[in-house]
Amino acid sequence: MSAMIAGGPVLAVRGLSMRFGGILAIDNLDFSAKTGEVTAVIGPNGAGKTTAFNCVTGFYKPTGGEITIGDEAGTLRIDRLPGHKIVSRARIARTFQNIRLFAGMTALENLLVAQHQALSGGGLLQLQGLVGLPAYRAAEQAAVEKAMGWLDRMGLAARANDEAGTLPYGLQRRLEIARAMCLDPRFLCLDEPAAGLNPRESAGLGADLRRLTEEDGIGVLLIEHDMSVVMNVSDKIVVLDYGRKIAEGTPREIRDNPKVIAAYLGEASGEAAARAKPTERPPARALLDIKRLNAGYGKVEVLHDLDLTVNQGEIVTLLGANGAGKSTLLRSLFGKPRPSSGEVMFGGRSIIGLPAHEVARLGIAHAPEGRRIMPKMTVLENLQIGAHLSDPRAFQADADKVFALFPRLAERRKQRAGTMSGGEQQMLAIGRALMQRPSLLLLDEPSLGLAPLVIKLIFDAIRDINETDGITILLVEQNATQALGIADRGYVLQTGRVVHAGPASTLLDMPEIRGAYLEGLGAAT
Amino acid sequence: MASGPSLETPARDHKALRNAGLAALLTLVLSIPFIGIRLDDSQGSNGLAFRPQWVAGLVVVVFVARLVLDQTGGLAAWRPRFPTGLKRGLRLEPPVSTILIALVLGLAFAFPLAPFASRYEIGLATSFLIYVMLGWGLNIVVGLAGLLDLGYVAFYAAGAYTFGLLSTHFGIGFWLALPLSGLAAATLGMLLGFPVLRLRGDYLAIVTLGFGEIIRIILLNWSDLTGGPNGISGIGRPSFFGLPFAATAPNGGTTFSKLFGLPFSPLHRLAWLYYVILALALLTLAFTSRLRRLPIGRAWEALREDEIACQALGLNPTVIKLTAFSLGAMLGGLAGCFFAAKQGFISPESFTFSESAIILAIVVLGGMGNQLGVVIAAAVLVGLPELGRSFAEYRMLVFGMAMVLIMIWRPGGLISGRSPSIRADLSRFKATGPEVAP
Ligand SMILES: Nc1ncnc2c1ncn2[C@@H]1O[C@H](COP(=O)(O)OP(=O)(O)OP(=O)(O)O)[C@@H](O)[C@H]1O
Ligand SMILES: [Mg+2]
Repeated sequence: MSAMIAGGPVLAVRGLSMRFGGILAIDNLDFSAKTGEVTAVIGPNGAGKTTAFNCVTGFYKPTGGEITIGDEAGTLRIDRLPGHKIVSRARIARTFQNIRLFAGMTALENLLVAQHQALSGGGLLQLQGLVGLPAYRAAEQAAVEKAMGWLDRMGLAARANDEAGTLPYGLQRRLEIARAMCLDPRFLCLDEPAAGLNPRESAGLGADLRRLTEEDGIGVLLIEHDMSVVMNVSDKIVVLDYGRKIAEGTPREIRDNPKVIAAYLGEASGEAAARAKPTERPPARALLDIKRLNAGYGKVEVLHDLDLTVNQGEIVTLLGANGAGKSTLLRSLFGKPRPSSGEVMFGGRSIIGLPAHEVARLGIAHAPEGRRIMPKMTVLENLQIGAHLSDPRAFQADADKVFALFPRLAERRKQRAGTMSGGEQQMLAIGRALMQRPSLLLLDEPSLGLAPLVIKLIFDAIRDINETDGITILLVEQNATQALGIADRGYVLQTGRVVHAGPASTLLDMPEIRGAYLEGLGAAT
Repeated sequence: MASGPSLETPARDHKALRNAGLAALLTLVLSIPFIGIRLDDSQGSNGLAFRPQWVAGLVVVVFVARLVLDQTGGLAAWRPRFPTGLKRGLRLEPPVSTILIALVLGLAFAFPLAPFASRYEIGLATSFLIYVMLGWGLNIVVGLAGLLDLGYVAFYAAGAYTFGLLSTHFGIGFWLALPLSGLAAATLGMLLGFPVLRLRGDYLAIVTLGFGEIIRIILLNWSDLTGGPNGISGIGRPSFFGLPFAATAPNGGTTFSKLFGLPFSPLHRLAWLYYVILALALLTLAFTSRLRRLPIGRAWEALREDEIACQALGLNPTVIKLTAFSLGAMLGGLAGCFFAAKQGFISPESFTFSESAIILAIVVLGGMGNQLGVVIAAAVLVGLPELGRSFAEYRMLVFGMAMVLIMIWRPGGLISGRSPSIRADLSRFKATGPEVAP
């Protein structure tokens, strides 16, 4: 890997604008990024961050402005290159907000696809490979070496032969970075790489990013809502709001910038833990009662003899590292995967073996990880789908409630859901689950990909629907501090087993939990 | 917003009654025109006869059946369940698999020599192998690259007609025409690919369907060149390294049987055809399995998994799709060339849409992308109609039912699950364990 070049290539964006019909997603944006540095792009949901990346990496043709990459050899207009040439000519690689791995292929294969150019040698090398000549075999050997090198660096080497789609979320994100690095980029654009990671994992990721810039000398462009990561690793931060740049500067400057605080950060972070605890409730009957549950995918057992209870009217939070089995537990309530043994009682009735739609009909709503909205339907239609089981007369009132919670959805009720920003889609997924008027709401990482200001709103809203509407909530979160802040009780899962359980306040104070899930790089200093 | 779930049983009975009532009503509405009214042909004048008792009977049957179904847990409960082990792909380990492969190959080679192998058996095996080859060819396009192609038969036809024309007009022999047919089909695939590969999924399927029909209609109507519906006859037969299969050679030369001092038998020619297609099929197998392990094969699969990610990695989707399309077409063309040689006569009737459908069914039924699956599915699809002969007019019904049942039994195809194109040697890394790096 090449040594860092002082004053190396510069990626420059000048006067960039991007319009989608009536929406001006980016408005006259200027910024630049250097190799050897981390340049963060932050801003509220729908501010235009991903759109800016899409322009830089050739997925969108900007409506106006220019994007160039310049070094000693001259400057290159990126916005005039066809999309697939950007990687080879400008050497800019990227990852996606909603992970785009080749899910059915192994981790190693994913990295080999990235080396397609080098391995096919304009087709000639492949012809040699077809007849089994050693030249190809040598090239393949080298490509595998390189791939294994990157897998090793991202802590994935032992999973090289596993299908990418079966890896836990956090590892998938790392795999996507490893795959991008196999392209030997000068600039790496990362769209929310820390989403879905717990604070400790995010800290590890931050260290990896620093290493990429300092040791490998590449320039990292980083979109991220996790401020502990942004503030700790960035050299420079660009803040967008409504498609415009509202601030630019060092982490210190940005943190104290009143405009940024008002639009994006909200008041000083870390106050959630100090929130008043919900009052103790009288012991209620168990709404969801899980006993000795075992479940897994094929031969891989994920959940082992798991016991968990959610009482009527409670908020219960489920914590644990990536791959601990939290999402699997939620999904197994819907029979996917089907539990291999154990007992799941809901409202006094066994729901094991019931088809998913029957479970939903009993009153369990699931806002799954990864959103799963209907991309071709409008926002309003998505909400209608969510409401199809509940009383049509209540639709308007319920929709208004959702719109009050997420004004963005009201603004965009006619937009096709698939074209919304990642955070906007997350709002929609939560909104749709609320429209089901469930008696038990399963939320899988609701704060994923949301701006800090919105996260606070979400947690307030969760407590609100719990208190005023009496909806019982089972909440999976990486954002442990805030989750425990509103929960009555919590469970900590480790490799499919419950390792801690108890009242939220007790868990908050347990040193081993603080160490594992609450503290990352430390509070943003 | 909500209270506890309502779980009382009376509500359920009530629901069952309502469901049954609805089903019965639907039956009533549907059965009046279809069953309740009959067109009577009484002495030349047509009259309508009403059969209320039929309708009533049917409605009662449906009502009761629906109630019973509800009580027994619905249709879902009748879905066959299989041990999870069966659902994963068959994975044969090296010693077993090598022995198995050797055994199958040995059987395949010895088959025409077996005493029971008559004209019928050899012919059936030959057409089975043609389908296997077509299946493997289409598998590149549908199974690996994920492009739904409903007009594959067009390339098969292109290969067949290329040979037919070359043979009848220029007297070019099978072995020379074989690569030319492949080339012609691949070119056609390329030409078709350019405009349509921007389309995705359903749209691509419709366009390829149309393309297949256009080719057939051209063959049907361009009578000067293709002979129209009469087709092309008198296509040259493949010779045994220049020796014809005949009782007497045309101009005094030796024939195959004379050379080996065998009494002449028409079976020789059939057996030779069988060996030719066996060789072609094995070549296809070797070719496609190699391709899958090359960058282009992985690019196909990557394209099937996520086209946008491919673009981000600098792959040009159009080029990759084109290679899949044209290589698939080439294999179809080769099979077509063989088909023309085997029949000695071709006409547009052999290249209808149903042929495309059967080849596609072989790929889907076998389990997308799986080569062994294709073999088994081809055996099922070629063998079933033959076994079904005893059912006479119900033959196609049995055939269709069998396909539906197979898909219910194994939704992912006969052999689902994919084996990686390359495996990393993890011995160096096991020490670190599967933990996330700190
Ligand atoms: N293809 C499109 N068609 C219409 N509108 C779009 C399209 N893509 C993005 N938008 C809109 O442009 C705005 C900017 O979206 P973008 O994805 O860039 O936001 P973002 O800053 O990445 O937000 P987040 O933090 O939620 O990911 C959003 O309001 C989005 O709805
Ligand atoms: Mg985004």
